[in-house]
Amino acid sequence: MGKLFVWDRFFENIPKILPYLSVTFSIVVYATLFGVLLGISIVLVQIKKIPVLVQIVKVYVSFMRGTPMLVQLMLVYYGIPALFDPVFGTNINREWGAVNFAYVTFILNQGAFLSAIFYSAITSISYGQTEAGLSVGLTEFQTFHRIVLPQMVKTAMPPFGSDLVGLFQNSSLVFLIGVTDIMGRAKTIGTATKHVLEAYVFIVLIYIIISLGVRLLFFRLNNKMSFGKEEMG
Amino acid sequence: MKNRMRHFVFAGFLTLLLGAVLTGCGKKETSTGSGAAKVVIGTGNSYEPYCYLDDKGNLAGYEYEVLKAVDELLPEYEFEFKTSDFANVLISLDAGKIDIGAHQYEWNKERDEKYLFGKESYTTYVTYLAVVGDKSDVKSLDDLQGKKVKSSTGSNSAYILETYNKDHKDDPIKIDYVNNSTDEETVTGLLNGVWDATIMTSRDTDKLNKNYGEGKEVIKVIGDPVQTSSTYFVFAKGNTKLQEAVDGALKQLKENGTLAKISVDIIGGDYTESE
Repeated sequence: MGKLFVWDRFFENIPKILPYLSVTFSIVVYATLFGVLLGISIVLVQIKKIPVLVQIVKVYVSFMRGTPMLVQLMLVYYGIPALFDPVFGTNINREWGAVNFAYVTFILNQGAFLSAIFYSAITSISYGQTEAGLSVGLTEFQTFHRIVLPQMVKTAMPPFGSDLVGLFQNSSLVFLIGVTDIMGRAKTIGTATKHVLEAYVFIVLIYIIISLGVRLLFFRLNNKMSFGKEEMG
Repeated sequence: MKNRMRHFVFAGFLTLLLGAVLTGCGKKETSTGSGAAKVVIGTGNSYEPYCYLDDKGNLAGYEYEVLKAVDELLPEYEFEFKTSDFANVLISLDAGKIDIGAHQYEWNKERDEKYLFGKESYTTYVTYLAVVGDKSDVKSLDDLQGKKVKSSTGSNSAYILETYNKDHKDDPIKIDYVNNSTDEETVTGLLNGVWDATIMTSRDTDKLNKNYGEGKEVIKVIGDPVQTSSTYFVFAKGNTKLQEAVDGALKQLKENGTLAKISVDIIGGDYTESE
């Protein structure tokens, strides 16, 4: 066999793979943005203990956290059209590109994981503080906004960061339903050029850089958010 | 003051996110307005030279070229291509996501029960056992009992091995299902002894030797063919209208020599009728 790794091929691959970072990023952005919204809604249901919904949410979260991402991807890709199309008379089965199914899967998955992070962050702040806020005449919203939220964000930040790193890595699964992200591009370069190792090494570097970047960002944010100590003096 | 800063940063972050989302939405393709019925072709993305993505990331290969030629002969249809990994192509056909499966599909009984096969073949597909070049103890499937053979989910080679195992329950061949592996992985695995053999066509071993052998025969086919068959396009059961149209076009391409030309250009030999 020829050489497994050649630098020339490595550099040739860079411009071929880089454009596909946008696919990876768009999945992460959608999943985070709508995942946060979904996560907040789930936490609201849990905290307000809305009957029926709270049980549904419980099953949903445990399903999303307890089953492999790949299974969820396949379920959404094949299952959602089968479920929705006959009921609503739509044709998302054919009209939606594979990437839309990827977005939906990752949003649903992130919503569940983020709700767990948010919920634990909120409950980590003792209820006594809320009571104290209410007792000095703040409204419920003010108490949440001024007392609970700042502390909660600080608690939620580190797990949120590591979740985001995991999200980047999980996004590589979308190749299996035909979405070409950086992982998929590496694989297809391997098929077309007969050499796959250089492409893999390059995307390893990309993932490492992304994960270091995200961690650095959250480290900074975390430092910024030590405001509580200063403000309270 | 510090509070206001924080809000600014947060608002900025949200705006950025929103911007990213909006540009993402803007990229959606619009369908063309011609009156032709849209036909979605499902094919793979990692089987060179049949279906793979080229330098620019566009679909290329034999399946694509043949279907493009077919499309030109059928003004009433407009073909659109959708790629996924091999195992998902037929599942997509089940799910109605695609109308035609194109991934060097050989006819077999199991598949025939579920799908509608085209009547007109477009490549021959004679598969052999393939082993490393200096191996001499394997001559047929019988020699592989208890040994490990590489295959992949939903492939015809898996079907052949599973059928063989049904008759040899006492000492079956160990089938290793490796999905969407690359050629390099196949060669390396065989050379390292991860697998004792695999099933492929002789043109596939030629391709592997050319790409990885550096002039030597690292992988060879042995014995008699495991199966002699041809490949067909696969349709959903009941979709006879489309199947007949595609078959008619294929026939025309065969008669005027276009198919043979595509085969020579892309696979490197005329594999449309016989080997």
